Amino acid sequence: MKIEKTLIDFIDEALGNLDEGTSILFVCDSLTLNDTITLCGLIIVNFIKQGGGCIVANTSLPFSMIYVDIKSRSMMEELPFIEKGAEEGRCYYIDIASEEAFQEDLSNFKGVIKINNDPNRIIYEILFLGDEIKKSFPDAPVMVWYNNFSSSIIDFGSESVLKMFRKLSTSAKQKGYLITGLVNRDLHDPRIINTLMHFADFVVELSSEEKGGVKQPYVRVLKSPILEPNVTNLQQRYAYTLSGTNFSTIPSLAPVFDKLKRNISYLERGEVSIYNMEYLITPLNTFLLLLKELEKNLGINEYNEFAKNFGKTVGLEITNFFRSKYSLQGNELLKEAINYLLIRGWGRLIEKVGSLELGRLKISSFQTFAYNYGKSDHKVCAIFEGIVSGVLEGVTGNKWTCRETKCMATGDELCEFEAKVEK
Amino acid sequence: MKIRNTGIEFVDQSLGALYDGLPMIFSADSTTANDAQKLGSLIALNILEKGGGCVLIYENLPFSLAVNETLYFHSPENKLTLEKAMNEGRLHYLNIVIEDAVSTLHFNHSEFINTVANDPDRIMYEILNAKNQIRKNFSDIPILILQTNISSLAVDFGSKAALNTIRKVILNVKSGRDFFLGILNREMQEPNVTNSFTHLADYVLEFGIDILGGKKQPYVSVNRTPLLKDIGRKLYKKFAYELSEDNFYTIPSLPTSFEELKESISYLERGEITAHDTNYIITGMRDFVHLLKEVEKKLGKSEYTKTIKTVGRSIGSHIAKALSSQFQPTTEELFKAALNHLSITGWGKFNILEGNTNSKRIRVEGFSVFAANYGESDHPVCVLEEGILQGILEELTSLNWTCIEKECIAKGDKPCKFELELVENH
Repeated sequence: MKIEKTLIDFIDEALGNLDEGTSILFVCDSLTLNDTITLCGLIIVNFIKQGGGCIVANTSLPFSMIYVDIKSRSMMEELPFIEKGAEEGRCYYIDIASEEAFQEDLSNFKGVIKINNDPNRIIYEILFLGDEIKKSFPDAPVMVWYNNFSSSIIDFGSESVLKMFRKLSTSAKQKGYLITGLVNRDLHDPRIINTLMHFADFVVELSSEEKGGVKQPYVRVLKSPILEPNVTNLQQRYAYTLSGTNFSTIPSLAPVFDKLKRNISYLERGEVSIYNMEYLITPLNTFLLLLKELEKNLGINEYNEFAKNFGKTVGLEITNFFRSKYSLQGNELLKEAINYLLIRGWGRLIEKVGSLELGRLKISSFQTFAYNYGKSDHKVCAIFEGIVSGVLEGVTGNKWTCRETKCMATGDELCEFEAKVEK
Repeated sequence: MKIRNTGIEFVDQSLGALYDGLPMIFSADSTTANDAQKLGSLIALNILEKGGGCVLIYENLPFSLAVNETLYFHSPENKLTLEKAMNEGRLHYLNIVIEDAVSTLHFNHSEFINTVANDPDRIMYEILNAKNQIRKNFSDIPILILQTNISSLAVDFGSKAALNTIRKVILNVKSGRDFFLGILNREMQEPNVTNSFTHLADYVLEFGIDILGGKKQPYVSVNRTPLLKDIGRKLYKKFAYELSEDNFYTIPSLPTSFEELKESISYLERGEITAHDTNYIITGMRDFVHLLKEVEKKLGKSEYTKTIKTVGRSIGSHIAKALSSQFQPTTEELFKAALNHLSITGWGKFNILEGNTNSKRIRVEGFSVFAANYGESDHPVCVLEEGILQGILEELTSLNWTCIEKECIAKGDKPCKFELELVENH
């Protein structure tokens, strides 16, 4: 039996196949630690779903906490696979931060092993449980997830933990296990991180950078397996989104914004000018207050109609501007018109399915307006529906309708718009 | 018995809920360490008020000083809460700085003020002992262990021993239904030691100082939220804050010059533009004028004026609040700073022609970029600016004002002129 993929696109594209004996290290900082734990958790759950065996050694999270997290991430479909794996003796959880009493509904959960926090005991338990799994499931590949090396370094010192990882990764190569571990780089001397990376075959880094007082998380591959030629640009950083069970990367638009930013200038009459046009740099709150007040005044239906019509004229103006100034057509014109909006603070297009030629498009996007709107019982992006239909009409010359099918203000992870050409 | 919130809105929003076994760390610098301690004390008081238990360890303050300076802020209500909890045996204080026993006598049950030798194993033992004592009488209440200066532990015993002690305390807390809160001065250790402390916690708040326009601005940001919740992610940014006797709240901050705005404005890959922890939109003035013209057409002049003025007043109020949080200048200086803010964000340049915030009438003139882009009109068009100016003044003076645009560039006047008048209460 072979399990070749983690089912996380970014990892699979960079890693190629999950070969036996591969050791994977996730390096993170303090801010991205939770994301890294979640990402590793998703990889393990996907591995179990595909029939693999797993051993999770957790230094800081009691089992009940992980269990609640799995439930809260809408992983109800996955839960029976985990329970079945534990029942069959294919999945084990080594609980080092063991708790006095399980929550009531966890008291019968099999596969949770509570042990003392001792490096030799941990290694022994991992290898022993690996052998146990192999006895019952000789064909099943086994993945070990060590979460996390940083806490163990605090407990036992770096030398002991480096030896632990060395032992684990060599044992993995002998026995054909896969090893996944994570370390918080903010805690350690760079030499320790480099040594851990040296032992690993594949290293992924999650890090954050402060921008304008806000922290932006990034992911990149730092090291790929020696036999794997897939990764050509190791230093490429991607912003990512992680919500529920979805981990996806977003190509950078920052250079386009940086160009816009360089061209912002201030004229002494109090005008803010970009490319010789006057602009307002106003808090998003200005639009939230204005459009909410308008919605209250007109009622939802009339407001939606107004906002769609207004958005449509804006969409048409944007495309007319790019067509006349840069002589753009078709997909190029669509791309520039969308980028124009995306670097002005309204949000980000995450996924586009369909095409102009098909006359049908589905757009998933992060909408700052909806994200900051507050909880709503109805979809709130009518103005964007109008802008999308206006841009598409401007690009193709045909009339389009656009309908918001999911909205962040009503609790969806992203806003989703379906546009189709009118017949 | 469950206690699910700290009573501090900012913490509760970013934390989600207090849950069994929760470890928290507040990481501060030397300037903000006292604020972090006070916030920790407020949380402890709120938990005691809700019937919970507390074990307090103030590494540098004897009980008599801690109780006056940081625990009840000289507030009689807070003192009552402390006395009640101590009388019931829900509050234990580990006194590491030994003091004359006389100073603790004004509390009836001073047996719960335990003098402890400054030794990591002894402190650990006393914490567990105090917890057990509380548990004997209150088996089902959550207990907060508050260590207000874990950096001092590192000074006394070395960072490794301090880390091991805190790790043990946290593992102990995780195995039960209690909470841990440690306050850390990150300037006293190497960054990797500070990061090791924060690594141990599920929820981390960072306190610090930013220099804005040459002035110091304290901020707070959420550096870690529990794995189970994504709700804190929205708050992974810096907030200016205010700390009062019984509350802690955050306030938006604003850039004070165009250069500062341009420098700090940044693009986040989810499509957000931020500067100074606020989301911004960069919008063409023509598009904005177009939007308001359409709104006016839709609502009619009277309803449009009413609606847009309401919006303007809210915007003005936000501007004034944000500026007030940054500096402590006079109301007059704040009014000028607010006009300057309008200018650097593209609304146009406005000056005070006559009057001041102490007079009953103020005249403001300015080049309104909105009016300049509006096209010809037979009536003044700067309704939003009227509302903004009114909102700024109302927020700054806590009095009611009116604002009317008397002359407008869109009508052919140069420049726009606004008259603000105090509404007298009869």
